[in-house]
Amino acid sequence: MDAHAHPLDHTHPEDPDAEAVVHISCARHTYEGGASVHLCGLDFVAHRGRRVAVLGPNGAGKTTMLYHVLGLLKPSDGVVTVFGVPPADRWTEIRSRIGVVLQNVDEQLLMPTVFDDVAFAPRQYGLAESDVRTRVERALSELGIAHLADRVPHNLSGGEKRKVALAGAIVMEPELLVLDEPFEGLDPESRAHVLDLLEQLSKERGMTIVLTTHDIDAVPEFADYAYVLAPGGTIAVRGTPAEVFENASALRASNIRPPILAELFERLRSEASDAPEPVLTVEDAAKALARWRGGTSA
Amino acid sequence: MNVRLVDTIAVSGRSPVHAASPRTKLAVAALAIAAAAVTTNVLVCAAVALTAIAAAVAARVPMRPYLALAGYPAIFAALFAWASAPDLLAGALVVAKAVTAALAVVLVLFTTPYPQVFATIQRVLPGLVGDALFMTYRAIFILGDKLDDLVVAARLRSGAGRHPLRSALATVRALGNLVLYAFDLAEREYDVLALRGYSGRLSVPVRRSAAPLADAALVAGGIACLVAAVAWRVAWRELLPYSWLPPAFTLAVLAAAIAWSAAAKEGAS
Repeated sequence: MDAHAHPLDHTHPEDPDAEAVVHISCARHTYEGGASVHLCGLDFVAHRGRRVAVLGPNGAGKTTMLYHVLGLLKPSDGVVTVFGVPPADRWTEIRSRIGVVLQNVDEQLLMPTVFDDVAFAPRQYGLAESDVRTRVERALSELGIAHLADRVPHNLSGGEKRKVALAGAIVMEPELLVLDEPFEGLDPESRAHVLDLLEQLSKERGMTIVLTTHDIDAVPEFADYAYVLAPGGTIAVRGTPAEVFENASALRASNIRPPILAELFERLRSEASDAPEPVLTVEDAAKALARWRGGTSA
Repeated sequence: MNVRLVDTIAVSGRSPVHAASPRTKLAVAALAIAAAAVTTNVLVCAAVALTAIAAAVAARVPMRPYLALAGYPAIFAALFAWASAPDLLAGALVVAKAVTAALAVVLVLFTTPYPQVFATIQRVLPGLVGDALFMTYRAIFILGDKLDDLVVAARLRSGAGRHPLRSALATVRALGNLVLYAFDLAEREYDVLALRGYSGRLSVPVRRSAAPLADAALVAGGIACLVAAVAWRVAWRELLPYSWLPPAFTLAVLAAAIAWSAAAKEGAS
């Protein structure tokens, strides 16, 4: 897939009327040290109710991109809009519609107990205490951490802290969830649980989810579509996970190794011409291999 | 001072004193400090101190860290007394006043989560000051962890013990890094607050009492301390022969608290 596979990349490929919740076009940010991130190439668009993954090597500008979306950075050049407004200028208007988990969750937990921490945002927005309690209890049970409600955050494990931060992000039922490396520090079971939860939030509540990750194997399971950043911030590739992981040259240029299943099927195809087409999930892989085995043994 | 231990005990304690209202605890601590300030009788002052210790026993606060923490001011008070007190009794009174006030304050810290302490006094502080005090809460733990990491790294990378001067220099540089990190952390914490709904005034609800009887007992104890201190100050000539009464009474209270605490512990196990 080349960079222009979706020439109208500001519209959704399946639903041209889908609302663009986040739109970034050629935004530039120059840090004090002189390093510049220019989020250009393709436009970055996250449509309502979609799950979007952002991939890229270290230092490509993934976190810079998220900080623009969160209004923490203001582009010196280009356009960033969230819900149709520039977030850096009008953050207070849109912030209750956005939930966030930053990379360093330790710095995101503020209160003495898990319950109080998850309740932080609802209380800041002035909700009634009974409403706060209902929301917090629901968020904690959705993350499977209701038993941690009275625990002190600094004594939790890294994975537990990340779940608490995620509960704090979804407690206000935001329309847009922004997650920076959400799977870091999670054990496989927790990771699978969080993936299921994100899918449920997106499908059942129409939540738009934008996340950055180095966990390439999670992308096919999670994302409706993905963007790949090249060093310097160039938005090089956009597409469904299958489209993105077919684009080997762009992935190599961004120092991204394809998911292990994609590599396995590539290897099989290089050794056997009748090997199945690459698939990206374990379920699809099992089916494809079973079919192939049936075919070869027959 | 082990901040993490104090915080854990304050947050996870399940005693009636923990369940009492933070406002009550602060008010009673103020009464105890006032009593210590007013009294001129070292036995009355000791009685106030014993009352605080009895409350700490009832709260099942571990005695060693509690007394160690409350004992710090004794060092400075002793120096002051040594330099200025006319006799031993006056010196003992200076030290007793300092330790009594510290016992009351440390008891509040061991039984009330830090944000609750500041949520209570936030209303009388300027907004910026109240919020800044609150924001130090997590920063203390994050910086504490960072300092531990930096000191370990500095020791490992500078060859711990072999070159004490070099180790010391490396540790000082690590502390310099910590200062820079603290500035950076402050900015990031502010960003996080803004992302999570902060708009110029932190809203931290003051917890209500979950044990009204404990509130009543604490208030009664605080008032009794102040009344005794004032009485022995005003009518000291008449009451001097009875100075043994307040410490004797509070020793009985302390014994009762120990027995109650032991029974509660046994019941829990």
